Amino acid sequence: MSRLSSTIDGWRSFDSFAAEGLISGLDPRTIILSALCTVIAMTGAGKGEVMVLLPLAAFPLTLLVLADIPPMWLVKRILPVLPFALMIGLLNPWLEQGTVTLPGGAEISTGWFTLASITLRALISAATALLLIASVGLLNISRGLAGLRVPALFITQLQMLFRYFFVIGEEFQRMERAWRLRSGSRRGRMPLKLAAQLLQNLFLRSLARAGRIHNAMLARGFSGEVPAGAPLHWRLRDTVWLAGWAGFALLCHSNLPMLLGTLLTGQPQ
Amino acid sequence: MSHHYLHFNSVSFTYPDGTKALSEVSFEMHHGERIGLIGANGAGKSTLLQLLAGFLVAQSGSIDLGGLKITPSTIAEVRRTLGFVFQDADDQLFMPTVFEDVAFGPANLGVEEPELTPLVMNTLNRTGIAHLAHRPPYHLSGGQKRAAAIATVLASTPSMLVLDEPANALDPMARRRIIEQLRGFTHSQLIASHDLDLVLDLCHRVVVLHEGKVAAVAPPMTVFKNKELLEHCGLLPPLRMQELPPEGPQLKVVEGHHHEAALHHHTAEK
Repeated sequence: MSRLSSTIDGWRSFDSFAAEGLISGLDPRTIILSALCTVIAMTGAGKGEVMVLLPLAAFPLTLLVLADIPPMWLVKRILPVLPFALMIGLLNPWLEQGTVTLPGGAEISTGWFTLASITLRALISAATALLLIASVGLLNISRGLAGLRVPALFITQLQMLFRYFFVIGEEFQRMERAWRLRSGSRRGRMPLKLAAQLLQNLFLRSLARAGRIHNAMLARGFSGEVPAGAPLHWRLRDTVWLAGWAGFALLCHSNLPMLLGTLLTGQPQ
Repeated sequence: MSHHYLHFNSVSFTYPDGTKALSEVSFEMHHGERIGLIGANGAGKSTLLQLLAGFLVAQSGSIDLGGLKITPSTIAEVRRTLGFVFQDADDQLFMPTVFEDVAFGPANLGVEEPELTPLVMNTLNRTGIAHLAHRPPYHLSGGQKRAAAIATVLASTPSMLVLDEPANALDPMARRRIIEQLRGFTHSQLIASHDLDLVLDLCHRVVVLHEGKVAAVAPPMTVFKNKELLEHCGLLPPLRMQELPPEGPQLKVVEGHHHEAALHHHTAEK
């Protein structure tokens, strides 16, 4: 199996952790709202903030532990985000004029903090989004969104987009396998011209397949909305969870490390 | 029990590119009957099934199902009555788990908890795949996928099943299980298949399509014994009805091979 094919296979089992772990006992709305609190706290942090962002990594880490997801599973999936984040902030250490004096007395550009902040935001956001789907499951997220009065059209779009990704993936796997079997001595990299032709064919094939899947859905009474399933129940533990994370996000927004420093030393930091 | 039946009345359909797929197709199906739809590739089987499911609309003629004429305005009602099992089970199974896939149809029809879960589990038990309820469909074998696909339509309690190549790409055991299951259902069944042995095993009558027209409607044995008709329609009799050569190739197991049963032509050794 090629690396890309095995990657697609890996993504197919994306929300398979949803049935396991402690997270499955919580109302999906709780997790969505607490993730939202984390994201809001993150976006509210200043441009070069690093210390404010670091504690926010606690949220995805908690999801990881409670949903019993192997850490390497997450690492493999968020690493592709890293080059994009670095690309955005890579020039900041040279472009930014300001300097910061480190405890040892050395001076460095504020751009390094901006770069670290951008990278941290990207990693925490990606980890939160991935772990949200992995630990709660797309179907439960949809139920949660419906419970939060998000328009049905948006929810259906989200579900279809998620499924269409796998339709494309499956079609790609078949085509790639067919090419590999007949590629003779040209093993390894696919020629660019051929890749372009396959891409064109891939979209036609996946469109036809998506049409057949849509027909299968129509044949079973689909009328534009995926049924929400069992009604949701908000319990005390949901309130405790949400209040806890909302409070934590608020503390982080108010620079938790600085507050702790003040609290511990008795002196304003 | 209502007298559900299917009635194709002079149905014609031409694709936008001018390909005439069906021409004046007429036949009837009675409640509880199993009809095999056979014909060579391009005979019009798929078009006929798509018209029945309302994915295509006939340009002339009419299709009645249980006394209801199939039109764009009645199609939602028709689909409540009809359970359509697609040729490729992968097209039919799109939810994250088998349970959710089976629940999809009844949930769309308004079945809610606490009725939904017992209905789904009951259906999975009927098709013998209750133990696969929480497995992702893409992890199943071909036979399991087929059983899951059938479960997805049975859960909506249809009056009639439409099956497109139900034994396609199944191993002999899985094929046998599907045949036994279909035989056990009391639904009216329209089975489109190239597997004429399956049709012979299951169906009360056969509709033979040839170039978009009905070439014959008769019991399977009558059709399969009519060599002239089969030849005209580009078909061959079921394997079990084909005469074996009086001295066909004989096979023997070569001794001494413990890990693989090597079969050699007896004649080749001579």
